[in-house]
Amino acid sequence: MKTMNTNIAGIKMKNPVMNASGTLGLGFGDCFDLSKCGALVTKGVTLLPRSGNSTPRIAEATSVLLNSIGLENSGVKVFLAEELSVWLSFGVPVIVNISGADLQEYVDLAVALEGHGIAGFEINVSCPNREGVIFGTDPELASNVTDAVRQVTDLPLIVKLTPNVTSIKAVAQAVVEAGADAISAVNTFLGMVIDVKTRRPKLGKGFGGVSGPGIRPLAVKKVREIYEAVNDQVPIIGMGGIDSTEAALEFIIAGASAVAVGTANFTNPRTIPEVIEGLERYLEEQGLESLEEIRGRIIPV
Amino acid sequence: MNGKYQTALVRRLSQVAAGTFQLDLETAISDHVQPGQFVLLQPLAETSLLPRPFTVYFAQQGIFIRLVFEARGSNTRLYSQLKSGDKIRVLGPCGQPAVIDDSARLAIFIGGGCGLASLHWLAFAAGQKKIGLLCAAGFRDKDHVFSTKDFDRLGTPLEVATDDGSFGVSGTAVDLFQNIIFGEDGLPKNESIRVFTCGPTVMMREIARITRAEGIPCYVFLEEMMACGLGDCKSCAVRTNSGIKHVCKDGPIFESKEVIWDEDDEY
Repeated sequence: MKTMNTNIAGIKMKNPVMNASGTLGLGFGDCFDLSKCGALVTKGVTLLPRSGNSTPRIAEATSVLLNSIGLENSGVKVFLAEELSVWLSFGVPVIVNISGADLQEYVDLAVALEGHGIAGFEINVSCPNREGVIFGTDPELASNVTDAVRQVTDLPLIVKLTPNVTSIKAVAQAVVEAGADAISAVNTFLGMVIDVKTRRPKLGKGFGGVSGPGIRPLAVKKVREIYEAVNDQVPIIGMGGIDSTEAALEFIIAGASAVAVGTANFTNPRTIPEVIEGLERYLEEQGLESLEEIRGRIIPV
Repeated sequence: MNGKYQTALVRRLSQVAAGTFQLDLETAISDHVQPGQFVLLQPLAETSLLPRPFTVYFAQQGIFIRLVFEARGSNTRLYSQLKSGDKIRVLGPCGQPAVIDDSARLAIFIGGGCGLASLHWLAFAAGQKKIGLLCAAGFRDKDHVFSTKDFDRLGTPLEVATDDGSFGVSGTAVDLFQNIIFGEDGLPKNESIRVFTCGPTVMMREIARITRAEGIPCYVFLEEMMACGLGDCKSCAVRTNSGIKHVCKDGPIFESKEVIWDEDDEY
């Protein structure tokens, strides 16, 4: 029997399509039925409230979006008191994205959030530590974060990797050894756009994370590298410019077990349900029982 | 469930001034959109990812919404080429409706360039409340002046200034405003006046400064780069005296004294 059912480290999803953290929230419930999503991923939650970066926080360039939101959020207390119950009300697994400035913050977040009905954690290692070093750019730092959270929770741990590294394989292997149950890849590429009239960067912070269809080939390649490094151990949630069924399939063929739609939620708020329907049609058209039959199966040129 | 994201039918597109267009869209959004709210149009340029926000210029309930915009970039140029019968996806209504409280006796609307488009429907609604209206706008030159006939219909002719003096008086919207407040027929400066303004930031900032000094409540339409329009992505942040707010969810209208204007201020 044909099935879209997907299991990511014990998180049972009715289809493999979720949102990328920070690109879809409860407001989207006015655009489509959020219970259609395979899973919902929250915006990055931090221990304390954060007011975010200066504006402009987003800018466009050809086929890409740049953002430097700065993790604006109300902090974990308000998240637990006011937001989580709404996320959970759709009856699909809720994955909470967490960001910390040191190991203790990640640990405190995991402890605070555990036992409230969430399906798992997505650990954002693309934020800087107190010395300004991005955790995810150093296999040892990324491993330390994963290990610290692993010590305090049995919930599935998904580590979201930054592509801004020389060897994403090394980071993937390090976090898997430290206890990651799955990998999200990729977070945004760092970039900059400059207004040539004013000679000022178009983002208040000066630079930001590049996302959107323009980065898709780069992201697909990173997912393939991770697949080759750790596929026999953990599943991959592929993301980076997915705006259509075809784009989602690229990631699946590269090796992803599930996919996340990010920037495309802005371009077309109904991208997620459209991709889910498209994948169902694809199974039908190709006579496949499940997407697992093509996952990772790149045919050599 | 899908209420906010609709496919709209282009009813009519017409040019109303140099580079300025009026777009009527048949959409169910017209059922419940209110003055002050905005919609996002899907990007039409192939390499654009973000929808473009426009305050609703006017709506006929259950029939259509009207947008007035300047064709400046690749998307607005494509919107200006839409034809009757074309379809476009629209998200809305977004933002909070404007509120003119019942104690107001006189509402003053000051528009800068195509910012005037954001004020029209609100002025129309204020007019229906039987309160006094004063409307003024500044434009580059006579070719860019729009909307005067629509304001005539409100029974309050639009006072116009142009940078080059080719239409109305020579000067800016701020000059017109200063004349309204400080001119010979000076106004009674009391709590019953409300000022609404939309235009370039420098202009709104100056009007905010004057109204603050005079103790007149002033409301500004703020603009920030926006992605989701639904309050979720936190892109369109505005610093206010009561913390971070977002244009798409808390705005687009903010009381000017609430806004922290000085970019050098710390959070």
